[in-house]
Amino acid sequence: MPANTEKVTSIDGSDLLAALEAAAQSVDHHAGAINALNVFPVPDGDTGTNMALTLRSASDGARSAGGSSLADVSAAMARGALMGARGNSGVILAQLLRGVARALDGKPSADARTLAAAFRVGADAAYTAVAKPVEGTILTVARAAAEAAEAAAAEGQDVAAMLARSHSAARDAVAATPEQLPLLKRAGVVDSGGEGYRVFLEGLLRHFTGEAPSPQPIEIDVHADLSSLHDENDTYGYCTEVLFQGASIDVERVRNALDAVGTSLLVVGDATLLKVHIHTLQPGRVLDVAVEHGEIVQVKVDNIQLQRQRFAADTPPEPPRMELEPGTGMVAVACGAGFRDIFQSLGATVVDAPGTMNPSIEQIVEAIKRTRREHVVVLSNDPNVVLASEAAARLIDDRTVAVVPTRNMPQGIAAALALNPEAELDDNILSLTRAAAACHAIALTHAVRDATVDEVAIGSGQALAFLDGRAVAAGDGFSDLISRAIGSLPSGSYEIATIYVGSKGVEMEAATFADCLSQHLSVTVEIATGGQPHYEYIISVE
Amino acid sequence: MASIAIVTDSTADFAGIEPADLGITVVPLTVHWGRDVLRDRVDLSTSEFYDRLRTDPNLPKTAAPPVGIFEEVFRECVSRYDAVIAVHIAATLSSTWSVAANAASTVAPERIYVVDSTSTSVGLGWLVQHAVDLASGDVEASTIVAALEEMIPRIRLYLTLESLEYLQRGGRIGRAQAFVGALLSVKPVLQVAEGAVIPIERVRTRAGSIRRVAELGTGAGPMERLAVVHGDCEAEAVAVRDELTRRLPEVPINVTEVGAVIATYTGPGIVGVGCVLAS
Repeated sequence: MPANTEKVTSIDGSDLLAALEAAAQSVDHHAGAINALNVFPVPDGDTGTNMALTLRSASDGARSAGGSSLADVSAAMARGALMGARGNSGVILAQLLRGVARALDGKPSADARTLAAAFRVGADAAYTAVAKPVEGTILTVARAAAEAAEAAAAEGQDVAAMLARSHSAARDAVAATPEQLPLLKRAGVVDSGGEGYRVFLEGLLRHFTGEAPSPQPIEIDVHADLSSLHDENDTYGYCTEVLFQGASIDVERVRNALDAVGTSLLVVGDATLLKVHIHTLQPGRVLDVAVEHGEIVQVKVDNIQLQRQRFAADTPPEPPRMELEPGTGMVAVACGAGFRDIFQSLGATVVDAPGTMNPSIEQIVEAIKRTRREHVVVLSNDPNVVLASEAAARLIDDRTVAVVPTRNMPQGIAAALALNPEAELDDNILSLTRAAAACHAIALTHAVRDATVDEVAIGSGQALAFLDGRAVAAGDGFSDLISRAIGSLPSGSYEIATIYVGSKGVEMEAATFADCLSQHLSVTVEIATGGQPHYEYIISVE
Repeated sequence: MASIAIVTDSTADFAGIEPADLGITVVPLTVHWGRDVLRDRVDLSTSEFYDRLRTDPNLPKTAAPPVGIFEEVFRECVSRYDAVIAVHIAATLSSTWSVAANAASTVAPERIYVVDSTSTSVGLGWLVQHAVDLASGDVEASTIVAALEEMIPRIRLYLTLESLEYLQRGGRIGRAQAFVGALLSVKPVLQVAEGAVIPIERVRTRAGSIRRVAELGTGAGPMERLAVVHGDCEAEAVAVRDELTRRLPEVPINVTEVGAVIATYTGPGIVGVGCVLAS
């Protein structure tokens, strides 16, 4: 459209309708980018979509008014907006438009001065619509825009020039929102509602001038620290963020493809511009998915472990007292990479015990300190580690620490699952102890020499089975030992057995044990990687 | 004596009673798939919802009722009644309460009370029923509101899910985020209280998690009412109801299915046990 150089001294209802339709289209076009500014999940997370739908409803309403009286069209616009208002941002926008309509009541047309005054009434109406108005949102932007409009109109500017000044002020106000809302600043974005309103004003302006100051929405800064959104227990893998664009990205296919790749998946945006955030062990797969669906705009990959280790390394020996969250956290002693990963995935701080399962008191103390909760439970997972755990607990003075003397890692896992992160220590000790006691573990290994253990005679090289730490059977094959160990289980009903495969075990062999277990115990059987060095297989039965 | 209209939203579940028989107005939230906008329980039945949830490649989203709808409802109510009490899903879980409050302040702020249930589903339903019971007697609106606020802390609601993914994708996971990412198969046990989804513990098996939910839902003290809620798993819910009826024959207990809006956030397979503790 060629630039319109004629002055627009006044507008009527049909002008409003045309401008409104253009503005609604503009917001609709940019909805994806506005959505992508949402950095925290809120009840109405899709600000862009919500505002676009609200404006669509507003323009549908305005169209139904018929005639060219500004008062009639604006009243119909407001009614449409209210009936179609979506989400908090939609509701505020609808209230704003109702304020504008109220100010234009009885007027068949309006000049710049009258329009500016109407925008002011609209901005005020938006404020009163919110129970707790917050600066750094659409409210601030609308007010700044209205003030600039009034100033321009007072200088005798026409409607188009007034809108240009208004839009310019809105743009500045949007850029300032991160200074007003710390969460925006941390995330490196501007307020989505404010930006949506700016896009709306730009749409109106563009209608009257035939050209826009800039067709691009404000750049989304992908180097955003989204860690404030996730639980600190999400401690492994790479924090990977990718912003990519396309002609028509299949958002659900992207989401489905990434669901399997990691955790803490956030997908914001739409078919033309999409931002994904995920914690994964395979950042390359995320890039592959992005490239498959569109064109990568920005990438950020951070090693979560290294970040945490760097932080831990940088921490001085006597760390300044940092905020401790209420509730209970846990430390788990783990032997084997698989068990370590499992405990970490359950939210525990892990003490890596190498083959001998004897971590130092200092290692346990350090792990307790890294667990930033007011109460900490230590799962020793081996009888030989209990004393060291209790000694470590006594060395901590800034919070309460208790040891739950789990005998083995499966008991530790059962206890970890039973942990209520928000409950106090005493309640947790009770439930964790109960959960651990209900978990039995069969450990399978080969004897390295002749011996008699727990009244079981064992020959060097023989297969050997322990149940809850007691030798129960020796023989030639694991399968036979499993049946005998099952026979020694206390009577009761069991529901699930998990076979943890050690570094010397083989997953295919573990699969052959599944039948034996499910036949004897009617349990579901699962296989997991334990990585433990000394026992080929550890089988938990619960 | 004052006549009082009771209003709520479609996330309320009424165990053992038809909402139509209560003489209340239920304002529907909406569920949208792409551009299809469907009013909860009006345009969409739950069986249709679960069918579509399983076959439609896009995930649905939800939206609170538009402010204009609430204004219409409230205007209609104040024209026929002296006062209105609107009770809604927790304000921290949905913007419905704030939209209703907004509408109330526009229409008739002195005659419309908007109560945040801090709960939803049967928790919300019990509050609405209590309001209806009191409104039929000679009770002032402000007294009813006080009675509702007294009842809120006596409501308990525990639930387990097949998976946390729906809560996470829908942005309602909150503190339950602590339970995401387990490398073993586990089922979460959660509580809905004070408008939040609270992580309680994790259980290896589905059967175990349902047992825990039943234990927690009935373990807080003497109860006035009990309900089992579910999403597309009626058989499991009925089994829980039967077991609880055996254990607690003196407490009235009903089974009810959650609506599409709640199911959008929980996914199919939610089983919950809720109760109202005796005062």
